[in-house]
Amino acid sequence: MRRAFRLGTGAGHVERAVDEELAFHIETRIQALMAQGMSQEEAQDAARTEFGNLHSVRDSCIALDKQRERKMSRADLLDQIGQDLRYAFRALRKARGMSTVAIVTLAVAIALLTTVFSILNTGFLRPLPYPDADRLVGINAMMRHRGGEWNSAPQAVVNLLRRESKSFERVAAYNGWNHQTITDQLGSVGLFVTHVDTAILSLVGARAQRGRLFTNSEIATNAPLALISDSLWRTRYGRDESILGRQIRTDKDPRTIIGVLAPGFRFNGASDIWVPLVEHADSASAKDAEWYWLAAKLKRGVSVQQAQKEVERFGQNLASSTPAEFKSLSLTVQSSLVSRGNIAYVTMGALFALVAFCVYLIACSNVGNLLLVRAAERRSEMAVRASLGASRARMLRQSLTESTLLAAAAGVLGAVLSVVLLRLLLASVPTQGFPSWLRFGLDVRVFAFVVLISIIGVAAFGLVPARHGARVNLVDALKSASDVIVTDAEVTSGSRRGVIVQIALSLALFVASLFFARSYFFLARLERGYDAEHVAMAQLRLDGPRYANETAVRAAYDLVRERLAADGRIEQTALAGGLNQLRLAPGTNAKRALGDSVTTNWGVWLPGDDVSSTNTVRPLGQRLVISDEYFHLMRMSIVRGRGFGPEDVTGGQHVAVVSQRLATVLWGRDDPIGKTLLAGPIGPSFIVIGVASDVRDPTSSFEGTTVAAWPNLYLSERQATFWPHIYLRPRGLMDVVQPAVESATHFVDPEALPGFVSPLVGMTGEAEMIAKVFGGAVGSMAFCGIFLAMLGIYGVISYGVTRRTREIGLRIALGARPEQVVGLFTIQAMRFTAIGLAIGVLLAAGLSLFTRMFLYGTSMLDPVPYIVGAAVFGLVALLASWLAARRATLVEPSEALRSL
Amino acid sequence: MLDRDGGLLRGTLDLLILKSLSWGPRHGYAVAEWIKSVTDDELLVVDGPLYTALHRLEKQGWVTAEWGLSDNNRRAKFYELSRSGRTQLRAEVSSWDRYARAVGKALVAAKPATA
Repeated sequence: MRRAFRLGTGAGHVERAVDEELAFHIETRIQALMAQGMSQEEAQDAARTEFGNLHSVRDSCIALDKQRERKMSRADLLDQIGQDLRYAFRALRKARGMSTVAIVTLAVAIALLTTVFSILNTGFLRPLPYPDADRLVGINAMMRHRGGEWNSAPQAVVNLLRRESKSFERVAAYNGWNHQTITDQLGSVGLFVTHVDTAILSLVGARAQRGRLFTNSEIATNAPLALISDSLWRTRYGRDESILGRQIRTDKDPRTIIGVLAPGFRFNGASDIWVPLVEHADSASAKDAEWYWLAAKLKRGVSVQQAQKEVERFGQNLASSTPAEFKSLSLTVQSSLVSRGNIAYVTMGALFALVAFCVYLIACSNVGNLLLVRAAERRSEMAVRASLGASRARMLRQSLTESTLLAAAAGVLGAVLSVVLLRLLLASVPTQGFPSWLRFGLDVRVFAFVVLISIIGVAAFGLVPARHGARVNLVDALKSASDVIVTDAEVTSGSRRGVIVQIALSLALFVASLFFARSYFFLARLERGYDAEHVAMAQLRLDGPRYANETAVRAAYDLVRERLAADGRIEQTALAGGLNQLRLAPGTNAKRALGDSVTTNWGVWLPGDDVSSTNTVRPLGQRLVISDEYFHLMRMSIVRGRGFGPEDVTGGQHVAVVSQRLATVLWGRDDPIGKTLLAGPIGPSFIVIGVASDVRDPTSSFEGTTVAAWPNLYLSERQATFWPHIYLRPRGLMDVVQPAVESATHFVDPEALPGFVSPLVGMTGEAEMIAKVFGGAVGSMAFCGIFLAMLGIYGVISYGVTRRTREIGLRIALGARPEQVVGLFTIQAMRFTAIGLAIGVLLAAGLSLFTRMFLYGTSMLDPVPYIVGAAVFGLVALLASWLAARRATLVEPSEALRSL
Repeated sequence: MLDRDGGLLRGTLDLLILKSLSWGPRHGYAVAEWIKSVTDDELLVVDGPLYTALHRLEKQGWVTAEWGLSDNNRRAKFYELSRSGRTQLRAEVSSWDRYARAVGKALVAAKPATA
């Protein structure tokens, strides 16, 4: 007969067991030998001898047993983890609704945060997507030349840097932003062409996916070749494999396409075509011929500051050796090839990060709430487990497993969602004009980090029930198993705090999106004072010896206009020059675009002004030289006096029309008609003959936005020279303008390139785009937030209701009306909603510090978004708490009382 | 047939232990007695290595151990074949058979004809 003993535990138990086992053997053997007739001593000796080396056997047995125990405890652990996982899975499945909400909420938050931070990471934090990006620098050359300030280097500077610089491995020259007409079998199109040398292509790591890049000799000989971007190949040529060798023309130069650049390769903004750069080895012969943009690669170990010093010295040397040309030259090294510090982009990035993080916080606090509520529900379960011998560590591990499982599921879903989100973003972002260094890709490290902090966050909430379970008195917990009497201050106040945070954050987002919406509708409704919708602007491209002087150019424009007037598709045309240059793309040097003569004389003066002092320059918006039809074509009106007419002849009295705003600026309330002004510090004086209605356009200088009316000055085409543009109003759709202009131009000059035609509305779109994109993004995130906050409020109230079922039953049994019960809970909910709203309004005001530079027609002090936001939220909270509280009235008094 | 630490080829001792446990749980002393009696004291020269083998088999999971009372009413560690041990025994018996038959054939083979 045998009886099982417990295997020993504790330190030394392995040794004791082995000793006991071996002792048993030897003693049994001794007894057997003595039974055979040996004396005790003889038997002992014999047994020892038969056994062999006792010590070495003991040691190896102990070692083996210890190994076995370690193996077993590992297996045990795995087994327990498996148990935990199965249990967690069952628990999550049992609370299916809660699990689904929590997982989806968390997944959305993870996806959002991952996507936004992936983009920000590639955009702002990681090196540019070029080889050795940390050593790539831009060299900025500023010099005044012929009255203008030029932001590029003349050949002499390029040659000097290449020849003598010790800081750079290579100095590359290129020339971008050439808007040229590309002509191929499909017709013609205006595209940006970048002129490149071999160095720049290798510096930015250009690779051809079809064909090849330029060779050095091809660039040196300015061979008639071209490379095209992947996007041009796809969109214009439909991935045509026979693209190589195709003949195209850039403006008038015939070229052969020899390569398609790798997909995703972007450099120099929107450039789609690359052609060899014309350079001159002998800088003297090339005076003024070409201007270049410079990029360079620092030698290893050379800092930007060292390079800057060297480059400065070059600038000074040039300035002292040839002061006539280079007196004003200043050279600076930019620490990065592409400036990513544009305040607008950085602010946008920060804003997006902030908003995404807000939504993430809302989602997390929501999931936390769900877990807390569930924790309260599971208190008795935990107490029972604890009393059945579950160790505290085991229960903590169990709840950690549940949290991790939840977060992991959310992580998987979140990964899928972020891929989808990136696809959507990619599809919605315009390729043209978008910063070329901004790539859209999922960053695995960011994703891992977000999932990790989610797991930690969820786990922190998950610990609450286990902590309680370990502390709760079993008897109390079991007694209340049917109904939780314990007023669990921690859970309630915890989830209330969570809801307050949710309300505050989502209100802030909501208010921000309301600001954007307000800005957008303001822009959409903005009375521009002219009809931008149905007017296009055409610029003819006339060059060659025929157009050497201004008169010839004007004559051609007049002929084209005559031809257009005869075209049935065009209702009216007008001439105007000097389009609002302030509306050019950010970063464009407005002065440079304007040219010399205007730049030096930009302003308006009154007789008697001290023209030598810059303080007396009066504000001026546009100074347009126009043909007589212009005001009518733009649907502007003359509010006083008259517009230009045939009586305003060349050589006659100079006359001017001012905008209402300019009239007010210059003369206040005085009647401007008959007043005199000067369009330049010296020069003829103009008599004001009329006041035109104001025009306004939103401009964003990124220090603030304004939609103030422009102080504009209009001069007659017969009394001023200008760079003409043809303004056209088609009879039907805008599509007819391009062919009409092309055929008219072709009729006048078969050699001329088709002009650039653009609708006016497209040129004013940037502000609207920002309002739309931001409003849309922030708005949709705000709605996510609102929805989540509503869920949160509902959750907290309905938890309260569940907790107080018995009390409610009592009240109803004692005669309380359902409305009173509903009121009780609603008031309670409104109390913490109000706290949330108050914090939210403050947060919203803080957020508007970021957003205000993108907003039009509204200011951060505008009370409407705050009031609307708070009101909507109050209603949402009211609805959620009412819905939850109504459940309380459905409690059957008898049911509630039975559970007493 | 003998090696230094076991006094027996290691696999052989394991096989014998498994076999001895195939009729039910035994303590180490009983296993040793059984082996000595069935092999006429030919194979197990010293007892010590038997214990090393038993603990090794326990670690491998082929036998399980439990403390019980022996016939003389003393606490003793009883070993029992586990399910995997039983499988192992079957496998080893058949491979031993093949091995022994092969070696036997080789030893009775006639002198090969020289080429």
